[in-house]
Amino acid sequence: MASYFDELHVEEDEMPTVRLERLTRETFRMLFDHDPARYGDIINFQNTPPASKSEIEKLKAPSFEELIDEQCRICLSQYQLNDKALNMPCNHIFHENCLKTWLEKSNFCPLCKFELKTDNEMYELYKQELKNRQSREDNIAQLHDSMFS
Amino acid sequence: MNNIATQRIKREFKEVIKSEELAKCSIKVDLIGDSYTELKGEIAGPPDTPYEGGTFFLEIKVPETYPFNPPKVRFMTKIWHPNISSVTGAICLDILKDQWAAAMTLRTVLLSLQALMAAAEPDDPQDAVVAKQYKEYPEIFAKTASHWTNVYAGGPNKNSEFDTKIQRLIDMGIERDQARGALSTYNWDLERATEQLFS
Repeated sequence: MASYFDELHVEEDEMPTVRLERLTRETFRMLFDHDPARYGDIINFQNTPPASKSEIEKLKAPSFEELIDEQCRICLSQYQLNDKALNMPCNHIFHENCLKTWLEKSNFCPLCKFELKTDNEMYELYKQELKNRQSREDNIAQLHDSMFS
Repeated sequence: MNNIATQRIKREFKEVIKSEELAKCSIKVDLIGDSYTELKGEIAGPPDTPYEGGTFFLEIKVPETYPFNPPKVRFMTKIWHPNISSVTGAICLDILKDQWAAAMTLRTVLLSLQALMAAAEPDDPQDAVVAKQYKEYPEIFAKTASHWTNVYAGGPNKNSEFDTKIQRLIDMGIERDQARGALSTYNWDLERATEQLFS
């Protein structure tokens, strides 16, 4: 195992999440080397992919009361009467146009980074793998704690 | 220029940038002329770092697609830091790239840069030479960064040992900034810096 980590240049003291993310990315890169056709546009995740259109359509408009004296944190202007707004699943509200423009290039809430699903299979696979690795790490940590504390 | 970007910057000026909190954190944004596309940022070096006492100026370019894309930011004041190019002032910071979010503001950016100055991330370097020195010779790094702060950002710590070495190279016909760069790169080893400059 040591050589595996050496090969990936993982530093001992890297933050667990940073390390996991790097390892996952490296694994994907290796998959790509192994089978470029299948793992075609291995994503360098320079930018996250846009949110899926169907996910955006599911977003609901907030009630009028929720907009009173509030401000859209994308354009920084106060909501006016008749402004169209949308509610993210994390309950953050933005102007409909502001949010849609943002979700055309990114899949997360501009305020809290809550992620909407994307149509990019590679990215979804990558996210799933990241989650799996995280829960494995958590389980190991828990096991370790239960054994030694 | 796109209206949204201009409106957004104007609102930021009204509501966020002029707040007293900013003065407390010693960060500042100024307009250059009437245009809202080019701005000048200013960050005071954070306390208890080699940058303390220095004032660092930033070039901020606001793209037409702001706030959906991040502003382009670069250090105009020369600085010795693992995540900032000692040559061009280019910055490696995630929120200026893939971690940008439309609710962030110029204030967020400047505060993040101030935090970056206080806590470098040498594993994600912009300047490999500086990052290597930061990891392998932290004391030399701190002295070098402090020296650069003194020379370029008006910091208080004069280093006469470094100045003497730079003068030696100047006497050999090397330009001052080039001499400082070479010596900083070779951990102030005069012999190696000379060798490199004349090879």
